[in-house]
Amino acid sequence: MPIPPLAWLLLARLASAPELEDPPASELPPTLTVSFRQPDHQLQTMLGWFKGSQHRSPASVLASLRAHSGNPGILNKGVQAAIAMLNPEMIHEIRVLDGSVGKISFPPGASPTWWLRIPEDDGLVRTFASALSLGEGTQLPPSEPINLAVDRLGPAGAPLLIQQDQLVILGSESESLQKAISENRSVEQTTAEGFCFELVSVPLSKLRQTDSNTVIQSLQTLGIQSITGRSSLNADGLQLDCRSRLANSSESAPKAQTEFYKDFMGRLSPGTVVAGVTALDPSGRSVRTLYSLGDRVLVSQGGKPGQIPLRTRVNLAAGALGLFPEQEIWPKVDGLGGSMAMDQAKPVSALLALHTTEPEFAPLLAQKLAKTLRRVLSSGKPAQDRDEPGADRDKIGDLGILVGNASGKPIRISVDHGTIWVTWGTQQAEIAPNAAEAAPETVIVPEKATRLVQVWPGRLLIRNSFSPEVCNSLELAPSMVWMGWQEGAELVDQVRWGPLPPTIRAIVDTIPPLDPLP
Amino acid sequence: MNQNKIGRTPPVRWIDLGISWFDQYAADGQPASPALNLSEILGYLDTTSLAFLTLHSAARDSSDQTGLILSIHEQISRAEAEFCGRILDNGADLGRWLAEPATGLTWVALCLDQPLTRISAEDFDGLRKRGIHCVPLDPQGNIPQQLEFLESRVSDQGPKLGLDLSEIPAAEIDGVLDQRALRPKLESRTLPLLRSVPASLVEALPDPTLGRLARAGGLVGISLKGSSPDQVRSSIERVEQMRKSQNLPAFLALSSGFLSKAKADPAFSNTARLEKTLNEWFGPSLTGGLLHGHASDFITRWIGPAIQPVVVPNAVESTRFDRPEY
Repeated sequence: MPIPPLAWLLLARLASAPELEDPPASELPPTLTVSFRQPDHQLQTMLGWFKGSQHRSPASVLASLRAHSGNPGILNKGVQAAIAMLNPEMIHEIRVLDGSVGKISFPPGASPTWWLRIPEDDGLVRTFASALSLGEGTQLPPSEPINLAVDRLGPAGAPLLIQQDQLVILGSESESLQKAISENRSVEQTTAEGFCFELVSVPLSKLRQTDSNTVIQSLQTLGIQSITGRSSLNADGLQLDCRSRLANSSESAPKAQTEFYKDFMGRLSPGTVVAGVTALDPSGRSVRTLYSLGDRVLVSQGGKPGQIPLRTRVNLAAGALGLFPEQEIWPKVDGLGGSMAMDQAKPVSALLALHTTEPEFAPLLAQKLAKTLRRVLSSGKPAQDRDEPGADRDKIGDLGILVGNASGKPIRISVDHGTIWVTWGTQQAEIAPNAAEAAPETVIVPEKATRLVQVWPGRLLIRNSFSPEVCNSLELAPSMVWMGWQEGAELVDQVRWGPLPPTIRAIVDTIPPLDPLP
Repeated sequence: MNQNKIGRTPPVRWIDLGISWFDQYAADGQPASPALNLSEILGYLDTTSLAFLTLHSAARDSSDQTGLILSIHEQISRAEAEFCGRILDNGADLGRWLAEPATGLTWVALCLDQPLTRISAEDFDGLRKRGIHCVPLDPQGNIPQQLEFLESRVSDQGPKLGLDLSEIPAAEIDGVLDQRALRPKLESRTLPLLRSVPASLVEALPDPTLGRLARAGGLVGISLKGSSPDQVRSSIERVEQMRKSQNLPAFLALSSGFLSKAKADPAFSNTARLEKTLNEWFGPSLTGGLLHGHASDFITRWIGPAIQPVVVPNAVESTRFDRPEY
């Protein structure tokens, strides 16, 4: 499943976030503005992915699936309705969405409000918005200040719709409709096709601790003032490009660790489903921001405001084991990597890497980590199994050392190229047999990149739930790659997922078409 | 009636014999149509199993023959886009529609609202290939000629042709049925129907004519627009009484006329109110027949026989998209 753009941004900021400083005060609530550019071209591009397949479109696949499965209700009705719209005949019709603009506002302490403005509807949007709504809708008479008949698309509280000539506006309530009438601004003045968005955050001081919008709170914690971006389809797959403006423009970026990235990615086991590496700011700023983010999320998920900060709790727990991360780890680490491999949707191995600022730090730090891990992993066992002061069994040899077991799998620590490698489980190709045969993917990482994440969604499957043909295709599917860096006071992030067409064709061709193409 | 967990009544799976779906769309380069009664179709696709879409009612008076045919094809393309894979065109489609779950997607049947006298044989065949299997007879034209034309076009296989007599005056319907009976191919390969007629016309039809329609496997759709609630109720009561006394198959259904310019009576102003009104008048059994059952039987005779979808075991296994249990 594609990861939402905002989630990417959150991940992006974990490593290089600034220390918290509120930008100039603003009275406006956080808003997300979206616009659609040339949706007909986008649909055409997506349908191009099916060229060479037995199916012409997602709609054709759905129709075959419904028929051949013997279960027309195999997917949720709304999902089916949406997929059925993805057909070649729809290219002409969907053009009416070109230039549409929508906005969601997140007022502190209140439910989000939204509106969507379609400037040149030929009847498609208003008809389907009405016909697809739930029952109990009604038409409200015109009243000040809108002076247009308002259709309520369902019971009280349901979205509202107004229409004036070709302009159609949908909104969460009448105030939103008013705002949409007076506003006609697109996200960015560009002709590039795709789905454009702009998220404007607010100063942290304007937000109450009890506000529950995790995304907005998290962005604010990460020091992001605004994000603009564009998501689009191309002949090869999906792409997302966005730029985030930092509240504090004087922040410096962590130093890119290109060789470390290459080294880390080269050690991934074949069943890896997610892997990420990032540069860290040795001043500890990145880590402190990460802790702040954790606190925000915990509060938004029901934690009590004002409780002991996460950073304090972690440091206390580590200190009890004789490890002091703030002094012993973070100042000496400038690169962090992690990955996880799964089989049948269960974790089977993991890799953690800490790249040190100076290669000579690595053996000592590894030894310290090994000692701490031994203590953690042997807790609850007889005293004689515990680590003895002064013992040299934590000395890291060339092949690394075994520090214990977790969930029946060994944990090892080794040192190589100034990097500490912590592995859990086997790193061999015992899983995802097809993934093991896949040609290695070449990811071109820009020199300036300070973060890189790769996700293989196709390897998250449970093999006996799908036919062997589908499993083969999914396991060989390309990874989704995210990379990012800082340019002045802006963060630049890119997500690429492709080439998707061969995988899509291979999967849909396992479903016999209802009407074979000539 | 059972309520589901969010407090809504289960959807009525209505078969609507007539909705002017395309009247609300603007032609290319033209301003959008003025706002129609969109409140009529609030929730329509949630509660409708199958809708008969009327093609070309707005431009039927145009004198441009080529433009008329192109306009019909454009509307068919629109239907193919918006109801992709759900246009009732053959027995396999019928099988899939019948297998649709109660909460399934809305299907459509395409119906011509264009005088046959203005359509060439080539155009007619082209339209049938795209899924139009219901055509009207034009009372202004020569009926025998139109029937002769249809006799030359109907095929021996596939869906029968729905012969829409909605515009034929009540007093002349018997005559049309007589002429149809003289043509064995039409007798076997067409089904007569009054797809959308006001209740007053149904009231005016003599019992023998209604009986002939019923015995021919036909269907009568009472239009909810242009009929008062009292007229609709009394016409249904009268026809049902006659039908039971003569032991005829059920043949009454309803046509919404939604999105046409006329305004619906509040009792019928949307599907939820319509169902409520009918239930109060007739109870759930006849309401179910009027909204779905009677038309469903007709459609099976018209498009069928239904071909059951072939279940491909491998496709079932390979397409389990629901989230697996960990």
